[in-house]
Amino acid sequence: MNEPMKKALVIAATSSLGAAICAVLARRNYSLFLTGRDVTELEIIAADLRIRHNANVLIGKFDLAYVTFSAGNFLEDVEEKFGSFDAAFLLAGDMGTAAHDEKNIEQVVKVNYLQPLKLLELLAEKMAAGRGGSVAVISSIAGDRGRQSNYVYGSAKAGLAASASGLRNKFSRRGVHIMTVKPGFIDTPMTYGMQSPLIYSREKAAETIVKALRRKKDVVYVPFFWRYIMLIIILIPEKIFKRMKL
Amino acid sequence: MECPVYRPEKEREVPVVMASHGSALVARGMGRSYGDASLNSGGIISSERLNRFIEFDAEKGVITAEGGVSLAEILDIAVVKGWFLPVVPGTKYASLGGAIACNIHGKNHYAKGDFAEYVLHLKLCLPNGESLDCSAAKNAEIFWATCGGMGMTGYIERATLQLIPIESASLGCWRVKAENIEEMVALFRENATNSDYMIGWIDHFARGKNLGAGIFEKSNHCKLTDGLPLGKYREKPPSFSVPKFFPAFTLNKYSMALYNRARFCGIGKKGATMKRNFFEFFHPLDALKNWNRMYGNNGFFQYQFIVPEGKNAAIDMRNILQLIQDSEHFSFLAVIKYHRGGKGLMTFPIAGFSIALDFPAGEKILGLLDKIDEELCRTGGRIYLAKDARAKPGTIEKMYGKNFREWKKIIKEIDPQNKMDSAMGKRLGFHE
Repeated sequence: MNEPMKKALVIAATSSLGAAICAVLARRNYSLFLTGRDVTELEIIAADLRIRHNANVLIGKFDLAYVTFSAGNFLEDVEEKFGSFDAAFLLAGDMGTAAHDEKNIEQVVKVNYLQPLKLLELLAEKMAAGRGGSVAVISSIAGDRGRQSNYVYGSAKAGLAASASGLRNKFSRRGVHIMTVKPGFIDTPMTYGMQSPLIYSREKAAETIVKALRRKKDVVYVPFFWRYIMLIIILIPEKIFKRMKL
Repeated sequence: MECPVYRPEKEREVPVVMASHGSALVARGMGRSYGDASLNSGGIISSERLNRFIEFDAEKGVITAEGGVSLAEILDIAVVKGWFLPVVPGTKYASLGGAIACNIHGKNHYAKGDFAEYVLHLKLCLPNGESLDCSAAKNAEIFWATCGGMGMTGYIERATLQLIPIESASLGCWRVKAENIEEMVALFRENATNSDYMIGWIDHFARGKNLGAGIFEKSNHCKLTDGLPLGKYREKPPSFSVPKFFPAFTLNKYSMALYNRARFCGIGKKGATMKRNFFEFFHPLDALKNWNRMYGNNGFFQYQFIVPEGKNAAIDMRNILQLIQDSEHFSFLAVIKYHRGGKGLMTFPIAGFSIALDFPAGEKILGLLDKIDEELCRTGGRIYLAKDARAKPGTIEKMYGKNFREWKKIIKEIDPQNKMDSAMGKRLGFHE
């Protein structure tokens, strides 16, 4: 536990997995800057981290929907209050509704792909200009192959994974590491009530993600076995796959 | 029982669930109640993820947390800062909300009272989804209907608790043999003013004039100089987990008689002294992970009753122990504690002695428990709702008397549409 003091930015810290990641980081002695839309909830999470882990925590209200490339953007605001940071976790995600209407499709693509992509670009550029750092981007196993049950969400997460791969390539020589995280069924509101033996504890998932980022992994499935499950699913020939009910 | 479960993760989701849910709900914390208090076919609102600390004043020992925080979590942060829970139950895996809703007690009830007496402040989500601040001074009627109110007044969102200061993580204990129930009672009364905690174990196999014989133990928190430093209090993790298919026959009349005899050995007339750390002392069962499996797949009934203090206390207990001995049933464990009166309308302890028993589950045991209930109604005793799964509605009305009627009236006022209910509530007619 005697690691040097490090700093991490957690975007959408009020999400279920986000809160768990904050707890892991606080236990590992990170200073934290938490963002989210719900300030009351951010305050509760921050208070809990301070009381349990004696953590150094700042919070800032931030809605991913309003990322801009113009001067005075949100990241400059963070840097002013928090200084430069070593790690960032980007968790924003929204499964959307079952409706395949225009509003839902736009919302899902915006929250899961478009806005995170803009923010990633800004983040990586900022880190590269400073002393470098690492970013964990939460994609999903749903992005590995489009299925009829959730291809809107899946394709947005696939887009995010592809952009993370591109950014990793682009910034690898500039001291910025981008890690793609593909969670399976983590015990969050997204999966609550699902009867599956594959549901994985969010605390363990958070631990895996933090550890993987520190080891500078490129793509990490959580838990690991999803890599093989998804490999099999990807290998199913399209002629057969299109008739399957998934 | 199948129960639809809501598990909110954000505080603001609670009132939404409460206000919008169609059938009645009940809050559930750690799920350690022995009975049906947190079961409900209509639905459950789980506090599992609403377990965050809000504020801790380490100078004053005042802590505010959400209802889902467990007592173990509170101890985890408080002990190292020199604070301790004023009331500690047999397991530390109980939630703060549950501790309040059951208004729990510990081995120090005769001196310190029940859990609610240390609750400075509550944030309660009423059945209609409105949040209400209450305490012994503000909205007192609802506060005292909530403490011990088995979840019928709403969902406990946050609570502020006064902790007590401690200097070390050890307790000095003194154990002595009691030859019968009369001696046991006398020991409790004699030591009440000079002990932080008192407890007795009754040997269920002592008969006749020795009925109620057992071990009496009194303990005091150690001072800084002669105890384990607070920083070192952390217990070893449970070293042995009881397997899922623990053969139930290993716990039987003979093995238990042997176990009870073994406990007596080594304690002479003068008694024995020993020093123990917190966790051995307060939560001996938690050291054995999944200890409840020892009872096999059938499980067990826990039954705790209290008889009023007075010259008849020993006789009342003797009669009940005799009833049990005359039946074919026997309890694995029989723990006796001393109590002062409690606050709160539905709070279990009155001034007197309580005995907690564990019976292997089975149809036949129910007749015996009904018989004990009758005996209690006759003598002014009562049973503990937090541990009950089988009592009849009329019995509870007799035992809790006008408090029960008054409590039901308050429930009706704040919950006219019966939006809170549980299997226990239905069984015992909380809404009738």
